[in-house]
Amino acid sequence: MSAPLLRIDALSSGYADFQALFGVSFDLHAGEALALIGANGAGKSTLLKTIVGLLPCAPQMVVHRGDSIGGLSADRIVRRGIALVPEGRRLFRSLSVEENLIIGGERGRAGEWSLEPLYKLFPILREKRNAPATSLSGGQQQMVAIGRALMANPEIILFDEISLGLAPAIIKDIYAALPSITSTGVSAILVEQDVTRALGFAQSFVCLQEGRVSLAGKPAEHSRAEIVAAYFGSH
Amino acid sequence: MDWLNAIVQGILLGGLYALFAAGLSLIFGVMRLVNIAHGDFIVLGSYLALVVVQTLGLNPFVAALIVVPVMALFGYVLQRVLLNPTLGKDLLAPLLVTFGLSIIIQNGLLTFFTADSRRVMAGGIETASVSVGPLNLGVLPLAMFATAIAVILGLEFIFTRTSLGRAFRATSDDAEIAKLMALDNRHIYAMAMALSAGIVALAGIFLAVRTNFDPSTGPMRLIFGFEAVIIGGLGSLWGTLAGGVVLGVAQTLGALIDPGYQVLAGHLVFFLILILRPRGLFPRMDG
Repeated sequence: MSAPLLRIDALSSGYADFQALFGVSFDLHAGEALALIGANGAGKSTLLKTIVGLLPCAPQMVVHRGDSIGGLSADRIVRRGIALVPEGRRLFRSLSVEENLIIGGERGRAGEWSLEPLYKLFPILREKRNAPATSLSGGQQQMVAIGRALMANPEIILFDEISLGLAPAIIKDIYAALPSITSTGVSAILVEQDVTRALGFAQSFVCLQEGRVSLAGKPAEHSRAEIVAAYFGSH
Repeated sequence: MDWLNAIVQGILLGGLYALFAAGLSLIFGVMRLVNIAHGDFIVLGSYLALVVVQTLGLNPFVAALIVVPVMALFGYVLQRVLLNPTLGKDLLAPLLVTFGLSIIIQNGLLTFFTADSRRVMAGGIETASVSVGPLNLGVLPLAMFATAIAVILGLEFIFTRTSLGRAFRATSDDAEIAKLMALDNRHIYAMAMALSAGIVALAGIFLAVRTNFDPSTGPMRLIFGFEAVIIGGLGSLWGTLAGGVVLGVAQTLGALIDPGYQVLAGHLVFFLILILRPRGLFPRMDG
């Protein structure tokens, strides 16, 4: 097996007075989509925030292409090609849709994603491009958030709860767009409440429980019961 | 006639107050920093202009080509070294640091330049005037007002049309997510302070040519700047000019009644507007 694109190695992290993750380890390989599942409070969002440098950790806990990048500032990690679509979208409210997309790409890497391909992927955004970003519907805002991350042409994209609070029909639309993103060779880590949907999309998964990896592997290798037990715990 | 004249002079004076206010408003907008030393920065700019004019023998407005970049660099370095580390959840820390800075600048100026009041001569511009109908308009107040409009137009262009302006707005909206756009907040904040200090330098030059100044005159300039910002409405650039004009007119009308009422009239109008329109004349819509 080739060296992993991203290695998470015994990662511990959390907030000032609260540790949320305890020795989490897994590998993400080039071109792979990995589902990160687990109950509320299992530490999924904390893990994503730590990977992109919004929370501190020791350097060797996050290894990207052989370099220890744990604890680097977020702007430097993003420049390396790791982008986050944050939970709750968090668009810039005083920027228009197009400005939100432009600012995502301005300091990113060169690549195939730019305004035109994005407007092809999400045609509604072309129509709304001059509207204030936060005047859009939830689903459209999620498209902007995904587009904003893509504009940096990342090689790894982290999706945090992209279906949270959206109508089922919209979720279907957004998931329909994901293959055209990963088919360009982008690797992805997907945090998702809807386990069935996440496992259907990903080639591998990691299940967190109270800050520790409770199960990991390929979706087909584990029974539903095993995954449920890893998700909720045995108490 | 006196009244009309006072109103017009007040409007033009408002240009100077808008210059005081624009830099203050800019850094509050971008990083929620209230710079207590802002008035002292203005006076520092006045002294810098004095030194440049005296040593190089330049016209003060030509000296701006030196004073503005030097002050902008001062602002950038100050933000990176001293102010960035104080920014965070606690609003008190940056407030106290800029308060300390205010005292340091005043005492530093006192040591180097003594308490004597100074003035920068501009080769007759300060007394020149043009007649418009029945009014005599000073060239200097007209230049101040035109500069204020140019500065506000320039700021508006930067904020709405440039990459730096997008970065300012994004960082102001959500500093954490701005980092995910590969923006280095420390640099963005320092650029905002540099821009603010550059505007401060212009204000300092006009102040130095228009009136006497000494090391203790900063705090009153800070108050005028604050009042203009609050009257105009926080976060609104044109509101800043409107606020400056309201304050300027109130002061000149006050002075017409009795010279002793000049500053008081400005404060009273400020309080009146705080009571009637607490968010200012032109509050930001999404505030």
